[in-house]
Amino acid sequence: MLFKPTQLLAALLMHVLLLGLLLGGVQCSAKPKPPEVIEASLLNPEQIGQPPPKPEPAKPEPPKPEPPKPEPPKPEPPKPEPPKEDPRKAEEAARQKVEQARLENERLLAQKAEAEALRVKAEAEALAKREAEELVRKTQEEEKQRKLAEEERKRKEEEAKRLAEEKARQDALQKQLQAEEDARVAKIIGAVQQTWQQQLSAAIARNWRRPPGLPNGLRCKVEIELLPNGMVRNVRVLRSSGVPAFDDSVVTAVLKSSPLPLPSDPRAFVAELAPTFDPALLESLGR
Amino acid sequence: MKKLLSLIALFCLAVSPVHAALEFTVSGGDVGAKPIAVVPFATPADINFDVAGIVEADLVRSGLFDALPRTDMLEKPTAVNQIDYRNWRTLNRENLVLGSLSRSPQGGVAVRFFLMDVYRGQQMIGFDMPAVGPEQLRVVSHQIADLIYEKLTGQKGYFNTQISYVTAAGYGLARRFQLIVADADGYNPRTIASSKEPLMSPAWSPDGKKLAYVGYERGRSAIYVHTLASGELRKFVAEKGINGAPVWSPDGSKMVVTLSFETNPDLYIIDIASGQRRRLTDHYAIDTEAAFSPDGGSLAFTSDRGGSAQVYVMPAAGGEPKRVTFQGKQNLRPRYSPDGKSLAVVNNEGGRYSIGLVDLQTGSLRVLTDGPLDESPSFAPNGGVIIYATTGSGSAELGTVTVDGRVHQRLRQPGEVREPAWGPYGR
Repeated sequence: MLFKPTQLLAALLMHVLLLGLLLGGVQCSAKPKPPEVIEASLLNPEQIGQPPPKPEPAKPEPPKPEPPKPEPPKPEPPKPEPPKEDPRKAEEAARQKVEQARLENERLLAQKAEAEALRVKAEAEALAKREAEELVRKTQEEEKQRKLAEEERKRKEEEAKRLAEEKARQDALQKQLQAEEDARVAKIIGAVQQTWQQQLSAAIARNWRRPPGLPNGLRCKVEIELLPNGMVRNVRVLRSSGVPAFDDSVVTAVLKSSPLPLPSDPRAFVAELAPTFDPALLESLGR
Repeated sequence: MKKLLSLIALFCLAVSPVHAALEFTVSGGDVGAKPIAVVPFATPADINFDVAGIVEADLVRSGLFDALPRTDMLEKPTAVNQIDYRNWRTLNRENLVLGSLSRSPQGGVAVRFFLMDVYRGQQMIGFDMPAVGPEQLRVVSHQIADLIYEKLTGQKGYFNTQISYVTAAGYGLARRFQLIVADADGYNPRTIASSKEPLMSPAWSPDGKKLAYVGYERGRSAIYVHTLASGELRKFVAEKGINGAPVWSPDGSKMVVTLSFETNPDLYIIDIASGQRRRLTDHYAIDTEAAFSPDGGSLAFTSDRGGSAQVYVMPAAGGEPKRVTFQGKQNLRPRYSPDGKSLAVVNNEGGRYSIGLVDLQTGSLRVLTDGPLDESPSFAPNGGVIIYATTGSGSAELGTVTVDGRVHQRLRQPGEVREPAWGPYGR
């Protein structure tokens, strides 16, 4: 053992001392308790005279926190006192009364406690039950919500699908209409362009003069860049005839023809022309 | 957009294809002279020479150009920065020639000229000709015309070449014949030979330095060779009978002539250096007026072996002649085009003598002139023009015709002019 007997003894003494101090303190503090004051005034006037501190009740707050604790020791303080008192009968009666009151008090307290416990328990049970019920309700609610959400989702999906289908149908219709419109426009443009080609061809042919003495069968293809007003921006030989003088006559003819005629419908305008110059075409067609 | 286009394109295939570039064909048009303008060159006051005038005349004579009269010009720029192209476009001119003359510090006259593309607004040629003495300005002018012609046609110019011809003037005892060499435009004539008896058939050596011709001395013919630079004259062949129609081989080493000393006129080939000769034809008919093909491999000549005078072709080394002319009563005096593909001939149809062009590939003959008495066709060295003698209003003169028969020109010379021969490139 780590403790020496002397130390142990000292410790015990210390404990006893402390206990004694404690008990003395308890007496002082226990007295101001109002219920005791009422009862004590009836039974023991000395004791009433003893504790002069009347102002203390005015300051009951510091000891207040302790009252719950002193309750168990309460029965004890009277105990040591009665033996100290001499008037036995009254003492005994008082003691008994006190004891009775204490017992009664204890019973009441126990009852109270039991009732409280029961109440607490019931409350807890009720709470638990409520909570359980709440949980169930909540779960059910959630399930309901989920189902609703799911239904909503499905509904929305179907709606979207329906809308998409409707849109697709509309689009297809639109597309068809557009295609028909495009075709119609294209037909117009095609017709306009055909006329335009003839106008272009005639306009350039009027300005086309090639040198004499060239071999037959020469052909030259050029690329013409047009400005929107019909002015020739650039001419470039795409496929040479092989005879520079012939190619030159072609390029000059195009430049001389600037500005070229414009199509009757602006939609038919094309900024790039690629005419082929073939002097013999008419002859060969005529034959 | 692309989709739309392709859709349209797809749909329009039947109508007309719509691509990025619109395709169509331009046909017809016109064949004709190129409209140009040659503006008078700026010339110092003390120089009296019209370079532009000579250039213009050369170009016009080729038949490929149509020049704007000076009086129609809206402006007369002499430097590029003075040109307002709109003026020339208004007048429908495709090309513009301008320039200036200046006295060179080293002496002589320098000519600067420009060839402009009117519709592109661009310079095609800008050239400073080397300074020359005033007497050489005519040559310089022809050189300028050559440069322009070559630039615009892609073919070599032939204006700075020479022609030779024979003139006859006077009557009876006063009649004189002259062999003349002149510029291709007929200017600057120089007399090479002069005689009271006929001079005939001048023929240029391929290097342009010599002329062979037929002359007479007291009624006897001979073939002479005249060296132009030195004036040296050599009697080349002088056989009994006919000595005629000399032509040089393309390499200049041989000559084919017509001689009749053995039987009747036949063709002989003579090596010029050695004088060795060989008979090429031996026929009872007349064979004469030979011409070498440009490659020297063939000879065309006139022969009446078929009953009437027609043109035949035979290998230059000798061989069987083959008739190549079938249209017309007579075809005479053949000359090969420089490309060897055709023959210029004198075509007689119903007594009208015209210049005709025979396509050796097809055998077809195209009549280029109206006659009535045209003779001695000779090709310009570029093959684009033929010079010939024609009987105009009373006397014979020289004419040129483009090989397509479209442009006819007359070179007016005093007296009767006959037997022109166009010299080669370079002089």
